[in-house]
Amino acid sequence: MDEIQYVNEHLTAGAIGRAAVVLAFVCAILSLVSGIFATQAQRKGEANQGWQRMLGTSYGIMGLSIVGIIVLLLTMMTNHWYEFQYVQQHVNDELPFRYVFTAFWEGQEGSFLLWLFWNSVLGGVIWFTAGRWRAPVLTIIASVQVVLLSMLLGVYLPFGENFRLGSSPFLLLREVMDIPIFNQADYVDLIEGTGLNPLLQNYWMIIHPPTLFLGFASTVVPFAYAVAALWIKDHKGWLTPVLRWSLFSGGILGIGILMGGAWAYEALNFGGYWAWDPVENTSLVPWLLIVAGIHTNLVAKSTGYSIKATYIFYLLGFVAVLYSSFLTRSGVLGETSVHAFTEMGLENQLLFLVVSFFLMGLVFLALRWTQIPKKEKEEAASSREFWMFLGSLVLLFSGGMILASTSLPVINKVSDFFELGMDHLTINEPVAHYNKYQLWVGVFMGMFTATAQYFRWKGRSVAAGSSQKLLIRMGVSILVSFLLTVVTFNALATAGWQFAVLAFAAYFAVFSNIDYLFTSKLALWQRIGSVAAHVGFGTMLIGILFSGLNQHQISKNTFAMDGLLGEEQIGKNVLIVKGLPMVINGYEVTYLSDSLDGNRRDYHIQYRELSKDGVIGNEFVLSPYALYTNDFAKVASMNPDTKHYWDHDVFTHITGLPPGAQSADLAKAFEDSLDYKRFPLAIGASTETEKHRLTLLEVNEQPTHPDYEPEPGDLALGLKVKLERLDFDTVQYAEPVVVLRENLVYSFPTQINPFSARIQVPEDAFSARFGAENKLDYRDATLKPGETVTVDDYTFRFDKFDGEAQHTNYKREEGDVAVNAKLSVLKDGAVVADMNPLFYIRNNEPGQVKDFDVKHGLHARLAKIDPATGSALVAVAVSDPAENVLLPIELAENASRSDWVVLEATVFPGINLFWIGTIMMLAGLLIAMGFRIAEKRKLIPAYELKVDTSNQVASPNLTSRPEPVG
Amino acid sequence: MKKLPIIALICIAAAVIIFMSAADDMSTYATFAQAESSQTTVRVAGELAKDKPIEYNPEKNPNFFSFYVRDAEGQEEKVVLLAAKPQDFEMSEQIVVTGEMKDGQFLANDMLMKCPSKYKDEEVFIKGNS
Repeated sequence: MDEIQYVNEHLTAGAIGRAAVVLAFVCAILSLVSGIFATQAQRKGEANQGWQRMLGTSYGIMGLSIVGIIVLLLTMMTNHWYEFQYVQQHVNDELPFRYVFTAFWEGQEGSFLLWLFWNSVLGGVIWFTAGRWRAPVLTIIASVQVVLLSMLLGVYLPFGENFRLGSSPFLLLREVMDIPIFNQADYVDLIEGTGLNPLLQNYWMIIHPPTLFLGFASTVVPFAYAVAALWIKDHKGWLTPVLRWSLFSGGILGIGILMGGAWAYEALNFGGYWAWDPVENTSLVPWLLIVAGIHTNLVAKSTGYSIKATYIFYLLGFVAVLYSSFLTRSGVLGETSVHAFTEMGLENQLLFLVVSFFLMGLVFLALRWTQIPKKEKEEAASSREFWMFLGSLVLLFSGGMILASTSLPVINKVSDFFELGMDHLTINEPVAHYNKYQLWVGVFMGMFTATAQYFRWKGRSVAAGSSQKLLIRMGVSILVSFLLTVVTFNALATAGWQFAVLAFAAYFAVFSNIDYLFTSKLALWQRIGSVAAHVGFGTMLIGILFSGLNQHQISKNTFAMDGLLGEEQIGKNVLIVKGLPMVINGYEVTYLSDSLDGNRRDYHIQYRELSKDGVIGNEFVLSPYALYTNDFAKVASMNPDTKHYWDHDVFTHITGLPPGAQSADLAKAFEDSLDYKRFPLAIGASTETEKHRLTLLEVNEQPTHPDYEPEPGDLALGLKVKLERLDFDTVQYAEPVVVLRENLVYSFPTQINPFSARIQVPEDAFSARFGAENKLDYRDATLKPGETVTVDDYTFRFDKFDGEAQHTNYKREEGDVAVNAKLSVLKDGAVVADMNPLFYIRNNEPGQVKDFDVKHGLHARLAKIDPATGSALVAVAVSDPAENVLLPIELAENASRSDWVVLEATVFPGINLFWIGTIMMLAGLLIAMGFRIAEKRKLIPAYELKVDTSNQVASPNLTSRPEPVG
Repeated sequence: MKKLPIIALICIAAAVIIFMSAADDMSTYATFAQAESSQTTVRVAGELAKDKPIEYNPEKNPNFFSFYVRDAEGQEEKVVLLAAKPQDFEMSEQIVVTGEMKDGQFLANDMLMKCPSKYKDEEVFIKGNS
């Protein structure tokens, strides 16, 4: 068979892309190898400039190649080169430019590239700033790059059954699928993209993934420092530089996760910022481990305790990131997560990634374990370090519990693999399960955070004053927290004692840290980060308590259930009809209108807050919307809308729509289910069904209808009808329309929602109205001007020919020869109508356009003209006059109303406390990082406390801070 | 007195307690027959019985949705979910419902659906066909 020579493919670009992946991969291996030699030389104290140069060069080329790959792939996507599978799957012609980036990192390959990109950037920063740590740290990062780049190779290795290494983003569609369209050489012009998942078309999705991936990627640096320190046996020197990086990592990863929560809250409709979804959980665990590591790192840096713990936390933090990407990308989560990636056949490689780096950490740690310095004497229970260490243990516990529960699907798979015969376990109510345990993590963390600030730092109290003063301040803090807890507890809708404990821990954390801010003798820059983070943490807990426990449904309709179901099962959804205000749970809710904009339909819902005595308070309109697929076949997603107040949010989204608004299929099914009954009516006549009286009022030949746009040449018929209910005294008017356009009939029915009725005009209304041609009894006559022919009571008189040749149903074309016959119709001697039948010759073919007069039932044709005698051959007929004609109308009385929405509306009190608290906490980490960097660059004095034995308060000079240089 | 061993002991004790109590939150995937006999909250995985009626009439009650699920053993039961009907429900391949059997029907308080990947068919991406 001949090879097909395809046209318009961008094969060169694809080839360049693949070559760039290979180049990057080779350079990554090169930098790994040269890094190992450079580090080994460094350890022996030998010169290693050669190796260093090679490390730097190859790492640089690798980074540039990765940037090149990204630019190339983005170019392909913006130019819609659909012959590439990755482009075809993630963009389409309609996708706005700003979402091309979102589409880029929607897929696995794109997200790997993002990760590789950040690793390259981080490695670059290490290269320029890490000093003697440069070679070993960069070596470890290079090893990660090697494995990640292998995921993009897409080459088949000759062992096993076609083992494929990686998946290339530059595959052509025809290499992946085998479908008939690839038999056409010009298939490129025939295909289009499938586009971006509408749920992801949200501005958070432009910045959330890169931030999150920067956070994920940055955990490699603490890991690399830990392995490097173990490698070169410098167990103390790494503690200072790594702290800056782990603060960065904690801050950015946290912000990335938070953005995900903001997206979920704004764009998804589960109603909340956190759902304990596996994907969320596995990104939270690394963050918890890094934060635990930051605390033990601080302890280790100042006292020499907890060095081993710091190693363990940083090593585990990165392994947890790898495990997270394994869980979300391998498809193993399957049925437990909504947003896991689809399978790509990379499971084995992903598993290799996790296991190899886990083993790398484990082996290095095991080899050096006995050499890691430790203190013989234990930390005193009254020292701050001791409590910080305990806090880190709690964080480890928290992460462990979350990870264990999230990993159930993995445990099930492992059990299957080894045929252990275990039953598949699953968590019944995940949210309740996680909340139950993590609540206590919050309690312990809050308490430790608070009390630690009152304890001695490094063997002496930094908080000024005697221990008596300290106790008083602590007492005040406890008292204030206790009072606020009582207030809070009374305000909470759900009264569980454990929530009171959590509230107390949270307030205590906030107040003790504020106290610490004002009384600590440390320089402001040294406590501001810590205080912001800890106050933020406490505030976040309070926000979670309020928005979680006190959230309530406006839409909860307590009347809907008839005792069949328990209290907790009363639903969250309520149906509201357009224009009918509904009072529920302190709000008057009205569905005002809906509007279509592109492929989204906005539903405008008005809320008016009502007090008990009916006074109207806040009033606002929310517009949740239904987003349709690009072909408008069905709703792709229902997106919420939220009104923000300083103390609460009102969140609403649509949960149900009438079939007509949901999908084309359902709309058709609905139309098919209608039971139309036919009623032929004369104008002014009525008929009755069991429920209604239907009256035909008048006929409109220039009708209007919301869905009908008139065009010239249309033959349209609108029937004005009146529909009355027999049991009530209510009347509705409607005007259904039927249109004949170029031999096709279009029907525009009218829905009468209050009566659940639908009325349409059937096609044969035309023949009824205008007379059925085949039933007419035409009489032929050859007439000279002035001559007449009589049918029944009417006399048709031929007046003259008219060359103007005009008729509403005739469109003149180039080369036509056309003529009118002007007829006058007389009855009882008086002219009652003028008629103008038309005859024409087009392309040597004769044609005619009949004329009719509906009112009297007159029909006239011009069949032939005789230029020699000046006579016309006309055909005339008479039918029933209009008032005697019966027009068919069809009425369906089972047409459920279509002017409603089902919606869910939730109030989230205090949700801003959650956002503010979380942002403060993460900002605290970044502030601390900023000051540590400033400290390193000698912009502010390095602060090293001497171990104080004389029990005097060291007072670093706060006032004489040198001005920053430069 | 050495504190580390004590801390270690407390940690282990806490871990054991958590592990034991967390076991209560978990269950195995059950069949309808097991759900009937156990009368507790279970998870049943199965597929939508597409030949049986799917009932959701928001005008009557926007919080009542019922359908039939065929479990792994092939047993079909009516499932009642007190919520609105989710998008694309008819397209779901696999359904996991959490709840209990009550009066011969499965009263669910949570449901997970797995829908087929969207863009598998050729027709979807040929121009003018969509």
